[in-house]
Amino acid sequence: MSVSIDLLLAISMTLGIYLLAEQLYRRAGRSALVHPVIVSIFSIMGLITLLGWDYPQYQRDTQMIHFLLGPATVALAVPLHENMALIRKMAMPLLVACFTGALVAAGSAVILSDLITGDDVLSLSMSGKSITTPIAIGMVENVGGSGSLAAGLVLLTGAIGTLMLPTLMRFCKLDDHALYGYVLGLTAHGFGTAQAFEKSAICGAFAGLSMSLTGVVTAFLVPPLVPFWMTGF
Amino acid sequence: MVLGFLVLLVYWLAGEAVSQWIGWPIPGNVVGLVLLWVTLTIIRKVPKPVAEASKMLIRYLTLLFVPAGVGLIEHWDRLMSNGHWMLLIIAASTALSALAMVGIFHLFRVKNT
Repeated sequence: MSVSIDLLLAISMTLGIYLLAEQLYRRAGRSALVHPVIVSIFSIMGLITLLGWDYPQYQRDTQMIHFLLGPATVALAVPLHENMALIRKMAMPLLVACFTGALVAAGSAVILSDLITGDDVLSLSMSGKSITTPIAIGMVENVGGSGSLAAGLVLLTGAIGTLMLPTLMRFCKLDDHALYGYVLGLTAHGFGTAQAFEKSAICGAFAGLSMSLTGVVTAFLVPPLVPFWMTGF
Repeated sequence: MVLGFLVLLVYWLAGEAVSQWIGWPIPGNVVGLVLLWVTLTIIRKVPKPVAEASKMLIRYLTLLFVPAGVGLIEHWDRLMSNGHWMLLIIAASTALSALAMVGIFHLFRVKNT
């Protein structure tokens, strides 16, 4: 069996850099600024530029890794199922909060981006900024945006959210751990969930729940609405 | 483990088929997620192979979107010209959605859980 050297190199490089980035993240006290994904992405960008590769080539070579996003997204049903028990007591208000939050997060980003930048690909990609990356990539590509740009915007949203939400929520006097976690998970997906787990286990569980719920709600409701949020459609 | 992986693939396949059949622009893997979630809710437990496969995939979920993230390199010009606006739009939109949620909590008088 012979496989191209470039393919093996691309896959080994991606796995190797990711593992190193995870080590760095652990040593740096799990700061969102050195999140393994951010460090890996920028290191690999630098390396492929140095090697003189182009992105389409790297994308083809790492197709195997990318493919696993499909089953991994389906797998999110397991934690979602386990966490749903948490909200049985007050399902109604929490579901309303999730639908509202998800629509405001996507709608305001698309509308603001359309008005300010007028860049269609950017505005369409903004529709997935608050949802977990695996769902965002597929959804944004379906509405005509760029999956890669969506991945970048999602990471940016996570980093910005974890920086500003603690202060904003203190200002709103939201101190219940469960509700606080619910807001963190909805607006800042995985980054927010990681931050919520540092506060308390219940905070983290509610963040994880709202993260998956928001992903599903957004993927179902937002694609048909996006055209109405953009001028010139 | 392999059985669990097969279950996830079959749900993805079913999700993809449903999504193409109804013509609604939802990614097939998200439909697959919902189908699996409904199944788990009905059978009220997570079969061991499915639990194992999903734990493994979710553990390395962040690694799986590195290849897509590297594609940001093709949007370098966009980041340079609109980067400051992206930060501002994301910050504004994050604040708006968080405040909307706090508003809903007040409306329903949810104080603690």
